[in-house]
Amino acid sequence: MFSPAGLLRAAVLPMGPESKDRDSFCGPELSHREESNGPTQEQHRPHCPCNRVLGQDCLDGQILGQLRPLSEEEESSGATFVGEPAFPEMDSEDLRLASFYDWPSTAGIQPEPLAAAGFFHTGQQDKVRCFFCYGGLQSWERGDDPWTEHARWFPRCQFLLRSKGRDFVERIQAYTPLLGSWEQREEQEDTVSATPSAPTHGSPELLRSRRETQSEDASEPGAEDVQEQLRQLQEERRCKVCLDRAVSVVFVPCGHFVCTECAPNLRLCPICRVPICNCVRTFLS
Amino acid sequence: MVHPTLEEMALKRIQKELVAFSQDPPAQCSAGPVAENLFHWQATIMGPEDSPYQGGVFFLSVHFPSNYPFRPPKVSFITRIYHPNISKNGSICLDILNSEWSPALTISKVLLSICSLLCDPNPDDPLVPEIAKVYRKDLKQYDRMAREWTERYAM
Repeated sequence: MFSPAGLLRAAVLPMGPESKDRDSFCGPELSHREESNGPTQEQHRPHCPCNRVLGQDCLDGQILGQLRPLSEEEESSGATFVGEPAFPEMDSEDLRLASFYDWPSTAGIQPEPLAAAGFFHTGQQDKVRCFFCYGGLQSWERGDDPWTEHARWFPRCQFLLRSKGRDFVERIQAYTPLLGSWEQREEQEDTVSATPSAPTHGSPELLRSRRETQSEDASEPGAEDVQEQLRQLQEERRCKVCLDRAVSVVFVPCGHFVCTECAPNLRLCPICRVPICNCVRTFLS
Repeated sequence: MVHPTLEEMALKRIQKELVAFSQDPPAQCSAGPVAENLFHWQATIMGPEDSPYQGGVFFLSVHFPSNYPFRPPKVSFITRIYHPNISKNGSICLDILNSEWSPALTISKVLLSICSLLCDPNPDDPLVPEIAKVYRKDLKQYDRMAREWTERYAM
């Protein structure tokens, strides 16, 4: 009987009709193994530069997680499918600029570069949203660049990728990987906390209690944290008037959402009290 | 699809508020429906610390309109209280209960706003001008009177 090493050697280097028979016997298994190895090697090869740069295993997943969606989107964008903007009526830069009519003079940035970068004013302090990806940003400081902030927080926005190119986005993401992954979560919490509240006499207490609640939630580990994130996402999509149905109507000009049942009964936006000029039916999917 | 009536929407919203209130009640406040009528609640507010109402328990009546939350609830004090913005019959002069109401507000937020009003009266828009005058000119007298009324009616 042949030894295992001998069997493998014979399979790899077939010689003579007798060896050929054995090779055909072992062929399927070896062939299958080779097929499985191939993709693994390919996967390893592109990741080496990231490993060299970071040198920390625990962070590889985050970086890869960010890189893969970009490449996947590239493939999908190559196909016929193209994402639709969340606010088609704000497609025009002039219309976006017009939404800054009550932009606070204390803000650290002027409306023109914000409108150029795809943002319109939500009507609340210095909070803006991208007309395409619905990404929200606030707390603007002097010297901030809207395109850079857009790329830092919402790297998958199609309008951003079309306007500035993939290289720009990847460069911004690579420049601050650790900071981005940490602050992005905080930004999400800010977005959540900003939406529900309306001005009241008790607003300082409300804001304080809400912030404390969020900080407590943030400290919880693992599965509970995921559940909290899920609850926050559901809360974002819930109508603030009936506290029940999903939102699907956006008010013009302020941009706040309610559901289809509550919209006909409203003349002022329930969130910011701006008069409602128009309602637009939207589909968030 | 049949569109729900305003009253059905109001009932559903009030039920959701009741659940949310039970799960996460604001500090120093409690509230719930009276008997079986979800449109009529009774609430209590503990007198805030660092205010002359400290130690008192104030009962309030809350009536939800049939088109709630598109119209504000009617909230009034049952317990008598010495305050420039709260009248003898319990009416509360608070803008979010009248002109500044928003459907995004809830009973929880309204009660918190009333707590805030107890801590910081607004003498510029008084419901009881005599008390507002005392509040402006003689703060110690105001504190003394408020504390006395709290001990007499709210303890």
